[in-house]
Amino acid sequence: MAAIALANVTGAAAFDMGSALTQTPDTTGIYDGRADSLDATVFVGRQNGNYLSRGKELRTEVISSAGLKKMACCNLAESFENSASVTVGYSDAVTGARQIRLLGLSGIYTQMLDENRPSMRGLAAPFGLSYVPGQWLESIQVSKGLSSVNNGAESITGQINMEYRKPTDEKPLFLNASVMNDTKTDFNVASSLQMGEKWSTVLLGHVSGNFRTFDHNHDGFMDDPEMFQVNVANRWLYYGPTGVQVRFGLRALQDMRKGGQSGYDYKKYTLASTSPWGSDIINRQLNTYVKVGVPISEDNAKNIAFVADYTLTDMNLRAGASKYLATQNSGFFNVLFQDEINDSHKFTLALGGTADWFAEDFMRKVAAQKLEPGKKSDAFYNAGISGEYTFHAGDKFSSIVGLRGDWFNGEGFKAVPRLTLKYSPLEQIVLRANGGRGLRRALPVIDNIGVLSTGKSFTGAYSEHLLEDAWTFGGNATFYLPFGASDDTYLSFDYFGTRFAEQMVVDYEHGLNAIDFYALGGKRSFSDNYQIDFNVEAFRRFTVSATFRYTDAKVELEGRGLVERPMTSRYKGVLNLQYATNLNKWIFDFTASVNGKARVYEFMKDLRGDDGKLLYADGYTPAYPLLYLQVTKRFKGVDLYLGAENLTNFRQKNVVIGTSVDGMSSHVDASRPDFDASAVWGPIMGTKFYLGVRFTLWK
Amino acid sequence: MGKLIYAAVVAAMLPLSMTVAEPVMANVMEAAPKKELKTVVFNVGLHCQNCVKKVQENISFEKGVKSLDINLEKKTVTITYDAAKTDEATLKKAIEKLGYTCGKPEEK
Repeated sequence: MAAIALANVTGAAAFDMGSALTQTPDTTGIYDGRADSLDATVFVGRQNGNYLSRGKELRTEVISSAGLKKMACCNLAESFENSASVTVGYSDAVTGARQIRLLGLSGIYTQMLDENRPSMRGLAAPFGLSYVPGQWLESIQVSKGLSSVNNGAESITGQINMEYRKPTDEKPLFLNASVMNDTKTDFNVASSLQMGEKWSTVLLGHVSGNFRTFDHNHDGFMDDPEMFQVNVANRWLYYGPTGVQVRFGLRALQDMRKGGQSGYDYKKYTLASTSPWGSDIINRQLNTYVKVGVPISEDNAKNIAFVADYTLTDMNLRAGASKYLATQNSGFFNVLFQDEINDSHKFTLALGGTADWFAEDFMRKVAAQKLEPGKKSDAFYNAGISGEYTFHAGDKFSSIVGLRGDWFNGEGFKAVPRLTLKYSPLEQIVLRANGGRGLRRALPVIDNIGVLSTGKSFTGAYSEHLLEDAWTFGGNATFYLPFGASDDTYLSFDYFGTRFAEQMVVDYEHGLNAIDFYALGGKRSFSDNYQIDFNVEAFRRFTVSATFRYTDAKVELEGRGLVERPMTSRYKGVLNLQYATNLNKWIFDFTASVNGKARVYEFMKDLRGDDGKLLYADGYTPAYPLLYLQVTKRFKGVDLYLGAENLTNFRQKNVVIGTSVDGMSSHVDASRPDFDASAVWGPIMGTKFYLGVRFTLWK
Repeated sequence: MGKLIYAAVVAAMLPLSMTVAEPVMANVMEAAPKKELKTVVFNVGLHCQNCVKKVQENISFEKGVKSLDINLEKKTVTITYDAAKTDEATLKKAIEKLGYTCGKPEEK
């Protein structure tokens, strides 16, 4: 069976051939992607949690399966707590929707890939991070800068690729259960089965929810919504004797969440201060895909591949008296041809596109405004052809030149050029440069789902679907240092910057109690990011990772000129210490992070805390620390883990903003136009403890 | 007052209990056989990182295993073990049970 696994895994590398820039699956990547590792003895006890990939052309941070076990990592959003590149926050204090930031910009500008297929697009984005159970994943690759043109033009700040547990894993049964002290409970199951030499499959299941909710800050709003999620997937792999591979799968999920004030019922809600305000959301999703890879030369130097993906997302969202009921049918296809002429020259041609059909029924009803655009349909298409040429001069130098021509309905033809260079003058030094253009279609309300958790009026282009256009340039220098217990000691420096040529601006500061949506229209919007990473295995089984990121993000707002992008933290520092005893029987993880201050919206400057003092006297949020601790005890096939998050118990004060209800100074009147539960910059929950168990049955 | 008396009695008894315990401990230490650590290198039919992980996750928890080094390129598994608790044949069998061919270098 081991031989079959090898064949499949090797085949996977050939199959995911879209491009040299395409993320290599972890199962192959550990040995294919890292030039150092084939020679290296794998000492048991070495835990590569998060590390910078040495071999990849793009600056890529890999969160390995060991990294995914460092914390509770119940879902994808929580998997980034160890990373300074990615910042995770809440979209609002009501719905539980999580959002990430990469290069100081919203996660909507990061292309999310599900084993190299674009995912979490449109309606699937706002809650998408909660719909990828961490225990389903094998690894995550976070790449900064612009990735392959063959996967479309949507990547602007970078891409995040998720690799799932593989059908070829020799683990017929994996079970996981965890519970948090706030009653959030997760169950996961995975089963990889091989049927003969050609067929294998993996079944994945997830159920999570909370039994009760809390209001620890006594503001009348639940800290976390009531949640219940069921998520199932089945992935198949066929590996033919001629090298033909077929992968296909199906996934279905349903998620229900009720947040806000206890007792909210959208059928009974009236715009009165006595009527409990909340949100009531049901999301459903169905995804199916097929990938076919066919070698057309004996050594697989020439091959073709076909990828098709269909996703149906149904969102049923009620917030107060407003509703957003929408369905998105989304299709993606790609046909690729690759020819590896010799060790130095390779090219890939691709023909592909996406189609998104939206049907929505939207009503915005708040005290100051009633919008009833009613039911409408939208269709967005784009199709294009792309080519990528890769040149390798041994191990020292490689360059990838990519060009894509895309036609967007209503927008016409757009050219997307991208260039990546990698130079390694010495074995211990890797230099990278990357730049190019990215385009994406804005969905103003969905991209900024938090706007629905306010009483503010919408003005401007909230229903327009602007084609956002940006250029990102950057580089990385990594120096491998000759000390430490492994050859993974490195110091790395990054700079990446994004300049928008066109962007949908969501301006909370243009009018009183209003959110104005408008096109950047020639004004400036940019972000500059600097990062330093250091990693060392100080002595055998003791790893230290330290990373620090500084962001300067600015945007020119109507009537205000160039200002710091609001609610964007200036810096983040992360220190992770891990110690494992001999043979990994005990693993101790400690992570400390500090999140830098962020400029608050203008209307927040006058907010006062319960003690009467200004909360943001200097116009900035405070910097705050987060501490995480986890202890894992491992037995044969069984891991027990116990951990704590936010050990300093830091919480954002007055997370829900507005006028107090008469006689209840801590309770905000959600029926008023100044109500705003979307100005979240810090943790809503205090210290959390969790306990979990993983059981693995090996074949 | 009662607590003070109790503390004094315990303090008075401590040296006695230690003098009793020491010879017993000394006897135990002398009686225990010295831990004999041995190292064996197996040639194992490893193919990929999955194989490495499978061997690592299973052999680490075999009785008596003290350290484990797996080299994918050379296809070797080096095990240091406590000879009082296990032996080469048992370890070889454990690797074979995972579905891999396993032999000593000279047996190849």
